[in-house]
Amino acid sequence: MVIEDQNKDIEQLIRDLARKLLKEKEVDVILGYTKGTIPLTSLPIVIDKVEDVDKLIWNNLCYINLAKYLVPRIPTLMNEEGQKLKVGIVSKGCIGRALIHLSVEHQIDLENIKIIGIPCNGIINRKKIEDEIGEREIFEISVSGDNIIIKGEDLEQTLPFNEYLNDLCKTCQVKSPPSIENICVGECLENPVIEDDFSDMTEFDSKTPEEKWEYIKNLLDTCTRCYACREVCPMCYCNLCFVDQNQPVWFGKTTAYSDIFTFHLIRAMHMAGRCVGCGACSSVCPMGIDLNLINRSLEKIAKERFNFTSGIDPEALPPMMAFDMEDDQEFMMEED
Amino acid sequence: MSRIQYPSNIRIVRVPCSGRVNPFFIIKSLLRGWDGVVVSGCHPGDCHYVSGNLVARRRFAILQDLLNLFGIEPDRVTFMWSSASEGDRFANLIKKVTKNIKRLGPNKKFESTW
Amino acid sequence: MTEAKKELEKVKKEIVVTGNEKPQVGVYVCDCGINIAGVVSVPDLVKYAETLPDVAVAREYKFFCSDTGQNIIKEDIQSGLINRVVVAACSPRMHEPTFRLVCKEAGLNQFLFEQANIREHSTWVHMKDPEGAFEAAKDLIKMSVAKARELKPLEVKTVSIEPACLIIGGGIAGMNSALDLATEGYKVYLVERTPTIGGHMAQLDKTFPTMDCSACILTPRMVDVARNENIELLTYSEVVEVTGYVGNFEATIMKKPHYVDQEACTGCGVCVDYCPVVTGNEFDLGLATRKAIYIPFPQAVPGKYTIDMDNCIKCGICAREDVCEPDAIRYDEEPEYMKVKVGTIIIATGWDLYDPTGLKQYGYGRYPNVIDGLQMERLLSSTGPLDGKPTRPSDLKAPHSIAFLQCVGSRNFREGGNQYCSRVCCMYATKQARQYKEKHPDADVYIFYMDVRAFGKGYEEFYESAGKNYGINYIRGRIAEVSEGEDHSIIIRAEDTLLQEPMELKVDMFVLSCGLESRSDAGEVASLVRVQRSSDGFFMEAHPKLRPVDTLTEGIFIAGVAQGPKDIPDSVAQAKGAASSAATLMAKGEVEMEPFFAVVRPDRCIGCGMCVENCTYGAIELIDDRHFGKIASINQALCKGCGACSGNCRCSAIDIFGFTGEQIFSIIMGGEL
Ligand SMILES: Cc1cc2nc3c(=O)[nH]c(=O)nc-3n(C[C@H](O)[C@H](O)[C@H](O)COP(=O)(O)OP(=O)(O)OC[C@H]3O[C@@H](n4cnc5c(N)ncnc54)[C@H](O)[C@@H]3O)c2cc1C
Ligand code: SF4
Ligand code: SF4
Ligand code: FES
Repeated sequence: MVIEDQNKDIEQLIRDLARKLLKEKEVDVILGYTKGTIPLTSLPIVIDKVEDVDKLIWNNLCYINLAKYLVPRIPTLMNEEGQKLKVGIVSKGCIGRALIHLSVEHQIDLENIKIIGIPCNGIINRKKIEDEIGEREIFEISVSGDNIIIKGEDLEQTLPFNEYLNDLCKTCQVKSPPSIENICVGECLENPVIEDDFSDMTEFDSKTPEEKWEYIKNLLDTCTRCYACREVCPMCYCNLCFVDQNQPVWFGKTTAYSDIFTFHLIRAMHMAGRCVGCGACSSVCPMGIDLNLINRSLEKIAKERFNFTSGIDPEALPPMMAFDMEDDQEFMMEED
Repeated sequence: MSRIQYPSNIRIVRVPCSGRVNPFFIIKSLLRGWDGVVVSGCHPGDCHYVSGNLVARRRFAILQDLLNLFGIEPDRVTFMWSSASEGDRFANLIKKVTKNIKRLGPNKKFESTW
Repeated sequence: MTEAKKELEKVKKEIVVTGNEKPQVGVYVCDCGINIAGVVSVPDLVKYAETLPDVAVAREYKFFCSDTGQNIIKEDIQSGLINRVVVAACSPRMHEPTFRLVCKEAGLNQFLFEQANIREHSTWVHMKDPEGAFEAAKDLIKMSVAKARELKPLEVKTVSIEPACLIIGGGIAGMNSALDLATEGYKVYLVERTPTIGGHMAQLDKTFPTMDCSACILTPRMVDVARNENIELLTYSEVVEVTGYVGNFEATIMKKPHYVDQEACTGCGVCVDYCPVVTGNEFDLGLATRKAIYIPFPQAVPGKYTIDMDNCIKCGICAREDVCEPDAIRYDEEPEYMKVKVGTIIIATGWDLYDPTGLKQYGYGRYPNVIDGLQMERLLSSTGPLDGKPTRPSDLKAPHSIAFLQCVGSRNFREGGNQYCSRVCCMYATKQARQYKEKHPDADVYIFYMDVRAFGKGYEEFYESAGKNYGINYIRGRIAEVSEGEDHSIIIRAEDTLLQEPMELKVDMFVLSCGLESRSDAGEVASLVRVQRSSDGFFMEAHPKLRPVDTLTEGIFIAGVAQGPKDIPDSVAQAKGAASSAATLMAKGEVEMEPFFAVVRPDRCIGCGMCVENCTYGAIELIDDRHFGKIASINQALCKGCGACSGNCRCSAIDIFGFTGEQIFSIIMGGEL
């Protein structure tokens, strides 16, 4: 099926399920996507009436990880009596993973939500398109057949969909949310088995430390420390992020490269075994920094060291929440 | 205890257990200008606090992997086990650490540069 | 009380420090005799300390741990000059308590003290690099001052102590500790893993140097242990888990199934006559046999029977009514588990004999007439398999000549050997040689030695008389190898190092005086109770000279050979010392706990629960706070202050008193921002 038709099917699936859940009072509200006001965007929307269900959309620009809106730090959806509302949440695979992981970390109660599973067919990478189009302003972007159509002033360009996808969507093995009984509706994965050889990492891994340093420096150098990545990340739900902590001030807040990379290093540390690979951080970065390399290595560390993939099994503890006598310790120094 | 000699360019910070060592301490030390950081704990199974070192080991494994990812020289930060009775081993490892760090030269990557 | 102390008592006033006033640090740099002052210039360190921020005074003294030294600090506190104390001296392990007490006695909160370890971390280990040592000492002082500025007063917490002691191992050491504690009125759980108490001493025939009969002095003690109301004797049992902390340990003990109801068994022993299975007797080191249903030796305590299920064929004969009249046989018995609460623990697990099989040149295990010292002990024993009339294993004839080889597996720096001296072998070989000569005055007895160590009371005399009055030939020399001659005799090739001549000797029997080793499972016991071992494998004492019966884990003590090779008198002395240390602790009724707990900052905690999973002690739970929502909460009674939780917390929401993030931060920054 061409992408255009897949999108239509997914959108239909969302609307049908949303309508059914609302009608049968299975949920109080639906959290989903609607059209954004500027090209290359989509917006989150909360719907509480069956009539509004058609406002829900699906396209390849729906990069936001909606799970973020359920963490305690975000104002909770309540009714007039101040009771928590039951939420149906439109979930591509990475949203499902985020929800499951958040429940492991006691941040949400799965009992209180319904996961509306959809088979995600990939998110378009804005940076790749901008690199292609240059400075020119884009008015509209759409999918036709298996192509992306870009319209702007003096501009109409057709690009093959597959080449402009996020890299992470190419390695993604959890396109639909992992299934949980009584919580999931729609399209979900029964007992997903993740088999990843991380071959996309081989090239980077073979670099020397100096080459890696240069590569990462090139990647992160333009970071303005706007923290958009953090704000959009479903796993960044701390009351007070480590970069903002005082007493003592562990990390500088300047845009000296030492401050930039230590921020990203510690953030990565805090994401290990937790990142669900949704790529929202890269999509949202105003400087177009793609954090996929870092996020992929986080998945790799968790998988290869601790045989763990985040957000698959609500019963499994992430690496930093557990320990094991038998863990590898090849990195520890030994006498010659 | 043992008076086995080891290089004098190392300063020791006392913590209750390797489990106490937050990655913040390590990174901050490097930002502060120390040329290398060593974290030493009791051997697995011998931790005075039972499993503090096992919790720490996962943390350090991840940190070490990430330091490698970011292109920090692998020998800037060293993790090791050495028990209270292993004066020899401690001295040998510290000698090895200082040798490694001398080879790397000063810690430039953590210098504040724009 | 010294004059100075009295003076101080008079003027003593409580110093109130809230932690918010400007820190005034006093730095006290100790010469430690020449330990520190012999390597670095202490006056220069003092001068340097004076330049550090918030340092009000810096002083030098020969020994700050001495009375006079302590008073110098006290006076500065009392006069209001300082409100934080840094002593730059030795390791806090020894003197932190001393200086905390100094603060306390001078009216200052004891946790406003910090020790800079410029001895173990500088002058000792950089002795050959005085300049480097000086720089290191400067920095260590700077770091301690930086931390001291961040110290906050803390309150000690006291917890009550369970007046009971768990003793692991029922050898002569464990038994003596048990009897002493029980006599003082403490409840004792004596856990022994074999079916009887007594340990190795029960295997000995006579004891050097007095030559009294081992069983005669041991058996009455064993009976005393069994009879004592305060001792709960748990033989054929093992400790499988220990949780808790000083004053409040909880141990889980597994009682292995005897397959014989210990209450019902009268010890009549009829079953033994009927049991058809014959197997080797461990107690006699394979030199004799026993049945599948057995007691280790006739005087065993308790004298109840046990079935060795590895060898039992379940024929059912012993269960017959006409065999076991009290109907005590239980083939399907399961292990039983019991939990006990104790305030203190004594480890008295003893030793294993060095296994000489690996030393191929001595032929042990290959030639029948090569035996080890403990086997010789059994052969000599009047209650042993040969009724005290030693014969050669090969033909059961009394040997005309015997050679002993000393230091087997001991004082050996090569692989497979132990570096230490086992301390008892010279004496036991002398003892055994004498015993044999008493029985066979015509026999030729040789002892090959490196040098004879006769350090104990009456030992040198004992050794002297062995040569003089018994005609035992001591030959200083190492044996290169032995081979077997005709009639299973042993041909020894050695060098007499006094005559500097090679020699060859043919003997009827060859005895290897093997050394003592730490128990093969000492590592497991160490992790079970969380104590450390020294590099020789024996349990490690808290201080080799001053705290030889304590371990580094509060409330846990060691006794007997478990701590290192020693003879019976020393084992007993240490056992009594351990009992007394345990009793001293328990007599107080309560212990002070260092208030180094984890504390949660509720405004930062997001309730992710990571710390809950990281804490081995189960000290953290997530609670619903009315104001902050779901947050972590610490049970201070369980928290040990390890910091595993704090090291992982992303939110810096959990901190450890005494090692707070701010304190470590200031150490790293050296007091600068
Ligand atoms: C051949 C020989 C002859 C000797 N002759 C003399 C002599 O004449 N005079 C003299 O003074 N010394 C002599 N010694 C030394 C003497 O044997 C020791 O000093 C003495 O045995 C020390 O007693 P102990 O209680 O420390 O250890 P042990 O006797 O080894 O007792 C330890 C007990 O703990 C038990 N145990 C071990 N592990 C556990 C566990 N995990 N759980 C429960 N229970 C456990 C063991 O079963 C044992 O019963 C001799 C030694 C040898 C080898
Ligand atoms: S203290 Fe830290 S680790 Fe523990 S629940 Fe709070 S945020 Fe999580
Ligand atoms: S410091 Fe933290 S992990 Fe350690 S015992 Fe206390 S609560 Fe548990
Ligand atoms: S006490 Fe935990 S590592 Fe040493």
